[in-house]
Amino acid sequence: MKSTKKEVIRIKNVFKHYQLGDTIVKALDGVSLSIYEGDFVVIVGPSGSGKSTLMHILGTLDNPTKGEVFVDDENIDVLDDWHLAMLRRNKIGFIFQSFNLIPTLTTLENVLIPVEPLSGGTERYQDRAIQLLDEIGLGDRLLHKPDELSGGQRQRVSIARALINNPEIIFADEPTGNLDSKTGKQVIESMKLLNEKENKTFVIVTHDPSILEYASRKVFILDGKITKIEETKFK
Amino acid sequence: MLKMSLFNLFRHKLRTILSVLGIVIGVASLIVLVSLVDGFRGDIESAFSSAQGVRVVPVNATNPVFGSMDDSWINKISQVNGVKTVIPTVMRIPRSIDGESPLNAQGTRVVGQDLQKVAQASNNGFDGELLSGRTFNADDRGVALIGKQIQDDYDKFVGSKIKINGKSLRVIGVYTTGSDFLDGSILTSIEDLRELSDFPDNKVSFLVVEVVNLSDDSKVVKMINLLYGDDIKASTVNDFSAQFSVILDSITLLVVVIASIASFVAAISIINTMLMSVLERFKEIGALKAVGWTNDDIVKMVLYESGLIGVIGGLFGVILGVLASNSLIIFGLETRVTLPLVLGSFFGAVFVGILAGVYPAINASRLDPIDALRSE
Repeated sequence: MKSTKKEVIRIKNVFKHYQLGDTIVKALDGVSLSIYEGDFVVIVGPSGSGKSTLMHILGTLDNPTKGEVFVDDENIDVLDDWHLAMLRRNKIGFIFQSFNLIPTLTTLENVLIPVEPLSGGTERYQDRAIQLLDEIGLGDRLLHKPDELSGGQRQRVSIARALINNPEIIFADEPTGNLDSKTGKQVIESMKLLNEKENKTFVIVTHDPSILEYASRKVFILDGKITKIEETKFK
Repeated sequence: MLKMSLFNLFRHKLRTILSVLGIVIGVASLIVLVSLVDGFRGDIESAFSSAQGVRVVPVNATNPVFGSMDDSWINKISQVNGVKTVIPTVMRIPRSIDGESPLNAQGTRVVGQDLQKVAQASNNGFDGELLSGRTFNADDRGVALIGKQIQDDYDKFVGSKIKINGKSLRVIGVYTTGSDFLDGSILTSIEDLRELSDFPDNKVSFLVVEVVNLSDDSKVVKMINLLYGDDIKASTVNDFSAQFSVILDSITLLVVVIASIASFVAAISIINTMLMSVLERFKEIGALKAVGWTNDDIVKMVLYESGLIGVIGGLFGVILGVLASNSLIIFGLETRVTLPLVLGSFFGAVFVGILAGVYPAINASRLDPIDALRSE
C-alpha cells in the first residue's frame, strides 16, 4: 500500500549534532523517515527528544550534520539559500506555535504573505485566500487585524497562510501549544479537514498525545532516535 | 510589499517620526542655506550685469573703502590708449546718517565722484534706473542721489535732507539697480565726500574708466596692468563678478559640507531605527523566510522601509525648507529656491534613506528561520 503513494520527503540516516560547551548534543542520532503524499503524520516525543530538530530538517530550514534529505527525490544538500527559499515557497508550508502573524496586516493580507514577493501574487491568490479562510470558518474575519482575533482564530489564519501557495506538505510545530484544549482540537480538526479535502500532507510535531487520534501515521521519538512508527487505518 | 513596509514603519510611530525629523531638518536647512547663497549670487550678478567698464584700484586694496591712491594716476590712466574718460571716485562707509549709526553698517556706502567727468561719460554714475528726481549736473554740490534701499530705510524722498557724518545733503533723485547690494549707496560729488569724511584732496579710492570702444575693455585692462601693474590693478566689471563667483562657490561648498554632515547624522539615526526594528521582528522575519521569502525579498522589505523614511523626510523637508526660505524674504533677505535644489534635496534624502537601510537589511536577511520556529 505504501509503495503506491508518492514519497514527498525522505531522510536517510540523518544525524544532527550540536556543540554545547564541551559536550556534543546528539539531537538526531541516525534517523530515517519517509513522508508520503496525503499523510497526516504526528511526531510525538518529550521535550529535548529531537522532534523539533527533525521537523526543521524535514522542512529544509536546517541542514543535517550527516545524512541525506530528499524532497521529491531531489537531494537538497546541493541547493543554496535561494533555491531552498524557492523550494519552501513552492512546496512547503509552515504553521508555528506562536502564529507569527504580522500585526499590522489584516487576516486576508496575512494569508497572502507567502505570495507577496511574487509579482501580482496578491491579486492572483486573493480568491484562493478568501476560499481557504471560508473553509476554516474565518470568512467573516477577512479585514480583522490579528489582535482582534482569538488565539484559535489566529492559528487558523496561519493554517490558511501555510496553504496559500498550494504546497505539497505542511509542517506544524506545536500548533496547539498556545491554545486551550478545546480550541486546539478545533485547529487540529481544521487541518484534518484540509488534509482530506485538498489531499494535503501534514506533519505535526507535538508533545500533546491527544493529537495522536487524528494521525494516519504516528512517529515516536526519544533521545534523537525514532522508537516506533504506527500506521492507522481510517475508513 | 510597499504597503507592508509603510505599515511596519508605523508600528513605532514616535521612533519613525524622530528618524524622519532628522531628514526633515537636514533637507530644510540645506534648502534654506543654498537658497540664501543663490539669492545673494543672483543679487551680485544682476548688480554687475548692469554695470560696465573698467576699474582701477590700488594694488594692495582688499576693499575699495580701505584703499587709496594718488590722484596723479588720473592723468597717467587718461593717456592710455583706448581710454575715454577717467572718473576719480572716493568710497567711504558713513559714520553716521541723520546723527545715528547706519542701519546697515556693512552695506551702506557713500560714493563721491568727480561730477564734471561723470557728465562727460555715458555712464550715469549708478548703473541703474532713476525712480524719481534727476541725475547729477556737472556743477552740483551739496546734493545726493540715493539708492532705493536708503530711501526705504531712512524714509527719504526727493527734496529731503540727509545728514552724513553731520553734513547735510539735499536728495535730488532716487535710483535702483535691481540689486540690494548697490541700492544701499548714497552718491554725491567727490568734493562733498572729501569734506564730510576728511579724505585727502590728492587721493582717490579708485578710478572708474570709460573706454572708447566697449569691446576693447579687456585690452585696456591689459595695457594698464602691463604699464603700471606694480602699483595699481585694473579689471573689468566682469572680473569683479568672477571674483565674487569664486567666493560664492566656496560658500556653496561650505553649505554642502554642512548639509552632508546633517545627512550623515540623519543616516546614523535611520540605521539605528532600522536595526532596532529588525531585531525586534526577528521571529517575524524568520517566519517570512520559512514561508518562502528569499534573502533578497527581506532586503527589499527593509530597504523599502528605510527608503520611505527618506521619502517622507524629504517631502516634509522640502516643504519646510521652501516655506522657511520664503519667509526669510519677509526679513529682507533675498533667497532663490531653484527646481534642481528642490529635486536634488528630495532625491538626496531618498538616497540617504535607502543607503542607511543597506546594513540593517543585510542583517535581517541573515537571520536564521529556525529562531522563529523555536518555541520558548
